[in-house]
Amino acid sequence: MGGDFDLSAIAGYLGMFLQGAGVTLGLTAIAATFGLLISIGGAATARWGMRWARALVTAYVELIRNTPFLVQLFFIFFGLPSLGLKMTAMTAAIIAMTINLTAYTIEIMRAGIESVPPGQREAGLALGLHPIWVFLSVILPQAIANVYPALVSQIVITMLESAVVSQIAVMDLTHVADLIQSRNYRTFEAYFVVAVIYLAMAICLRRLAAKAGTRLFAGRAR
Amino acid sequence: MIEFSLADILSFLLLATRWTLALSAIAFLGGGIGALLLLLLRYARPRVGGRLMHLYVELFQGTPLLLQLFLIFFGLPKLGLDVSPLLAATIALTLYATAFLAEIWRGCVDAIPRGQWDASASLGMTFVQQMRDVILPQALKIAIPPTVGFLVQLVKSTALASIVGFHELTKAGQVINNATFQPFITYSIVALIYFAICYPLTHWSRRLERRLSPTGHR
Amino acid sequence: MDPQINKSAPMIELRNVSKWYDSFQALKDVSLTVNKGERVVICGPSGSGKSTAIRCINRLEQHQSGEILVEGVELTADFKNIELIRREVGMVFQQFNLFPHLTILQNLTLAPRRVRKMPRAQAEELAMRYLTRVRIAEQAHKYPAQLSGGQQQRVAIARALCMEPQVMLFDEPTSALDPEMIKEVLDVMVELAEEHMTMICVTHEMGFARTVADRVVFMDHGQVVEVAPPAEFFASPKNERTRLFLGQLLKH
Ligand SMILES: Nc1ncnc2c1ncn2[C@@H]1O[C@H](COP(=O)(O)OP(=O)(O)OP(=O)(O)O)[C@@H](O)[C@H]1O
Ligand SMILES: [Mg+2]
Repeated sequence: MGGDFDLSAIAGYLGMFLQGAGVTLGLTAIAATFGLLISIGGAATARWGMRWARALVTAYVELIRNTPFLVQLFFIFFGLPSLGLKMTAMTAAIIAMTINLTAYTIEIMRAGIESVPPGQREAGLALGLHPIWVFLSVILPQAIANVYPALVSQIVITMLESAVVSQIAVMDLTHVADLIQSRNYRTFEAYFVVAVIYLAMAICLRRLAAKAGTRLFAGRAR
Repeated sequence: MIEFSLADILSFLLLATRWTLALSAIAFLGGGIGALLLLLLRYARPRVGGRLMHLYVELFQGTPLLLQLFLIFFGLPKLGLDVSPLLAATIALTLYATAFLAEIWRGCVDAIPRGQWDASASLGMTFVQQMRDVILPQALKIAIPPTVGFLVQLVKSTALASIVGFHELTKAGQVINNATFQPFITYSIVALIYFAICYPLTHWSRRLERRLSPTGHR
Repeated sequence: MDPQINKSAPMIELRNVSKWYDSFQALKDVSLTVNKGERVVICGPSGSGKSTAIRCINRLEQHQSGEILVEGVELTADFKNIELIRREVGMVFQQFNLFPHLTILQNLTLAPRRVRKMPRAQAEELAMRYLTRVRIAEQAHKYPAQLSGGQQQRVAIARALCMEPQVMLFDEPTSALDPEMIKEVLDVMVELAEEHMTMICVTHEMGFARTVADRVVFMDHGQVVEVAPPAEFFASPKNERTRLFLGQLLKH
């Protein structure tokens, strides 16, 4: 391992860093998309579903929220193939991230739904709208507007936690640092640069989301 | 190949669980002390302390814990300090817990209405007296549920110590798996042990929270 | 008593006090002298700077220019000065601001014990005396949330009195109360006035101002617009803005 702090040894790998950052952002985007869609259904089930369905959602949420993401990842990538479910590391990462994020966003979404006054549902039903339309066009938009900041910070958390998918050799941002340090032995510098990139991505994501939020929900959040 | 019974696997994992618990406890304590120091600075010297705390929290909540751990594990040796995986994990998790606990507790102190500061100040109380007799007793009550909630997060976070080679529960799971080639069973048991630690805490935190919310205090 | 305090000086003196919140000027060159035993009522439209003015007197807000003297001691950033002055100046707030985690008795004894270093038994005796005066002694072991608004405000007055202050500041003490509770609080304040407590009251209770005040101050846009004895103030206000304000008050 080298002596002093020397970033120039890292400078030549810019392309690799960008590629890794792209993979991390891509994984996060996919997990966020699936996660949000599933959690809408999950939250609606938790709120209005049959007894057994509600129990199922609760069990899923509790199981995921009370175990480490790393263990979930290992279980999916190493454990499931032994049952015959073979998958690439990338697929395993996407599944693990989605399953993990969804457990948190279901709770957030449910709080959002509960924050919409019951009068809104009643007013929608009184207008003759089908209950599903009342949910999709009256309750859901208000619910999302109310919990939008919490959803965003959960997605940022997922992005940061995704650093551990490097452990199953997904070529994400952290794995790029692993590779570089194995070539030039500038371990600290490699991880330092990657940490700074994560920080920048987290800050940008929060800023962008906040801007988008004020546009999307102008005057709507309660 | 040696055959392992379920009891062998379980006892091996449970022994390693002690390290998971110990690491969580140390980091929680250290983080609690660190957070108190940060907050004291913030409220006694709002301008400098506030900015410092903001920067600290942004840094530790804006980067992956895994990289914080790596930077300490590989960075301290560069300064000539030899760190074991346990020490590196302890430092990293303590710094990490400091950021989260400081942020949680700040929220609780800020939730106390301004009138409480005004009233106690108008009675001639000093800053320390205001904190001790008026603000903290009220803040502490609302701080307990989210603090317990964070403890769950911290227990789960200790799994990352396995990546720098510290022999806690997740690492023990990997070791067993390499010996038995039964990843499904091994990681199921590992997950269940984490669940058995975390779920009661989650449940407790939620009950405390529910007790606070509907009627308020007395 | 601290040697710094000058017994013959006016109780409170504001000299050309100005205060800004960022770029917004909330007080413009406010000057006002309140002598010992004097009772002054401040009124004026919402946002005119009434609260800001009295909050500067015990330095809950900091003024940026001019001078504020309490018993001849100038208010500076010096901690010792501020604490000295806060012991002499009691304050009652619109929202009561009782400590919700303490019983009524504990609310009253906290500052005497901590700030005046009074032994507990003595502090409790003092507290019970003031609770009796505001006619609420039987509630001593309840918590604030168990009391009505009027009762809470009377407790808040007793809490301030327990520090045995030289001056009492009231910031709209009856504005947050239901109408049927206003009188019980005003009665306590009138009694206090009859005992020659120096008082500065921000209030729109004009009946109270008429019977109790030595002078009425009218503020608007951060300025003191008019100061006059109540008879003169209500009968023949000099300033156009005062007339307008009184006209609107009477319409209610
Ligand atoms: N903390 C603050 N930050 C910024 N502006 C403030 C602050 N407090 C008061 N102001 C502004 O200063 C002006 C005077 O406020 P102040 O509270 O003294 O008015 P007031 O006469 O007491 O009004 P009210 O009758 O509504 O209580 C107002 O315009 C108010 O918006
Ligand atoms: Mg006011």
